[in-house]
Amino acid sequence: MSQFNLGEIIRNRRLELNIDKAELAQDICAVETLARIENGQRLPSRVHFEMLTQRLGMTRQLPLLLGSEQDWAFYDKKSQFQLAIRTRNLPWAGRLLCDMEDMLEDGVSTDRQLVMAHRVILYPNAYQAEERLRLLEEALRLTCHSYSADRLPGLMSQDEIVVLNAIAMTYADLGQWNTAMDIWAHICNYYDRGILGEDDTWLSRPLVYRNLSGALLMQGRLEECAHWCQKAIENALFTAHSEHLSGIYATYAAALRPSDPALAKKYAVKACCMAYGVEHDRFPRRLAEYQEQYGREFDFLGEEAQEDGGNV
Amino acid sequence: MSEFHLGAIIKSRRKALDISMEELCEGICSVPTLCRIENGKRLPNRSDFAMLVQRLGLGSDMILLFDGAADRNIYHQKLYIRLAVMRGDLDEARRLLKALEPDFRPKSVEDRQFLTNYRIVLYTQNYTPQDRVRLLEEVLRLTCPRYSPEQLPELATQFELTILNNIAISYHYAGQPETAIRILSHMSRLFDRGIISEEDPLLIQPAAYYNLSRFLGREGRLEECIVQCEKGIAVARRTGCVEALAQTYYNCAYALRQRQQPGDLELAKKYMAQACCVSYAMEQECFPRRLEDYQTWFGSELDFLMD
Repeated sequence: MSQFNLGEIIRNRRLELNIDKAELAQDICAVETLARIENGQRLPSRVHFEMLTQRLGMTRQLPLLLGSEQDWAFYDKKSQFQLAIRTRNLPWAGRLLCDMEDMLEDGVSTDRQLVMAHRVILYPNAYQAEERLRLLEEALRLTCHSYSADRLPGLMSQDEIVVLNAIAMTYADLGQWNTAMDIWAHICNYYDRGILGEDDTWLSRPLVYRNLSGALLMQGRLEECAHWCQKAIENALFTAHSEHLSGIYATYAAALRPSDPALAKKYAVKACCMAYGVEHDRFPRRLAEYQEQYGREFDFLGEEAQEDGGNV
Repeated sequence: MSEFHLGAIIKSRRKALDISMEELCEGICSVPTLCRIENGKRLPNRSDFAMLVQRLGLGSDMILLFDGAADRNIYHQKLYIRLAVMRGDLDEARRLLKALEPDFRPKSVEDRQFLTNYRIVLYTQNYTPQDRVRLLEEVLRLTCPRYSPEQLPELATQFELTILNNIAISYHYAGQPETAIRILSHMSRLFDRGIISEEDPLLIQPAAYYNLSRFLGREGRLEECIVQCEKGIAVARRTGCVEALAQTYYNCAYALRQRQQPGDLELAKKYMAQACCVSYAMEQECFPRRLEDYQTWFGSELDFLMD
């Protein structure tokens, strides 16, 4: 029968990634504690184990294996919540968030972080941008104690990336584009390190690529913008996950327009096609952008889109 | 300090879903064993635990906990094979499967199911449809011993669903479309029940709706076909998982054109335009065929996509 060797799992993965103990233990536990966990001399607590494994890219399902029935009940809500976010079922996500808040009394830091950050992420209009930034950064510091905008975390879990992305979006709202872009680029480069599992990043990756490339376009940094658009397109086609793909195509088209107008037009067509094909709510805008640049080829789709808009 | 409560997790999830112990452990372990696992008197072994939690809709990723780096690598290789098949990139999938085969543990039930399934999917021409049915059913019975097309499992792991989907396709080509439809309709009901409607089944759900609607359409069961297409379309639009969306739009347009109720033709035209658009934007192989169908049925408005 297989045995559970939590410490060994953590150590093997850490060595495989060539990460030292100090880097991994940062903000989670003392290096000595990690050493004892790895040697099997002590069991990690649920929160330590959850953070260690997530930062090692070992999937968000793992915490399920630890903890009491109360922990399990919270985890169950949490995985439903992630599905609700992923499928953009925001009313459901809102209800689940309330449930989780009620269960939070002795919640561990990762649970408190999730709830605190999503209060802001789901209801951005309830706060001023400054207030949003303060709350999100406070939430992130629950697990990344030494975080600041110019001291970004070295290893990140999927949950931490979601919070960090929201922080960057808030910096952008405040007009601090360079800070926002630094954060997004940091996350994008982190995906390339391959620590997080391919299927773990499905939740955040398309959105972060979209945010970074959009910001670079606005700042006129077209080459970098095109680079990240290519990454995003490659990732979307590889995984057949099309969230944000229409927006990426539109951004790519705009970035290419000065240097390669023919290719730019092709991607502008794709942007319209993608939005129309999945009935994205941005379709009317994509269509208007296209027609402004290139003319009226899509007219017959536009009429239908307007009718649909009326029905909704 | 927290302790392990694997059993408690299984038990509370099972009770929440109102599933009996017999139903859950069939083909995995005995009822007394499950009982001892649930009460914390013994730890499940790795593959039993992975199958139990998958049947409870709790995700396959957890198997990683029990594994070292090599097993993690296998997990990702398997994922890439599935993604390549989903994209229709069969050459890449064949290459990956060849690279992976030496690493398989021949005794593991999961690995045997995986290997048999993909050998058949990737080398269809080496088998008659009847052989495909026989081999796939044999390998499914490793974990669903009482499986038959008349007695389909009420709980299934993600991979069992994948095999069922391929069994259904093989029945279709073996000239037994009713059996194919029965199996896929059963899967569609399982998705409706929500037991397996977490993230993982997004890998199989789109293909199942697509196949079911295709077979229903061919049998002239248009109403049912349209219902299943609309389920598939809704899931794809909501989740952004669009690998089968263009084909599902096509199936729906096909059925609507046949049915010819008021409004059907307009909707069929719209769905066909959407099929062209999605397959074009996702650079899918089916794009030229969809465009040709559109032009034959409705005219040349989409010609500019040709460039």
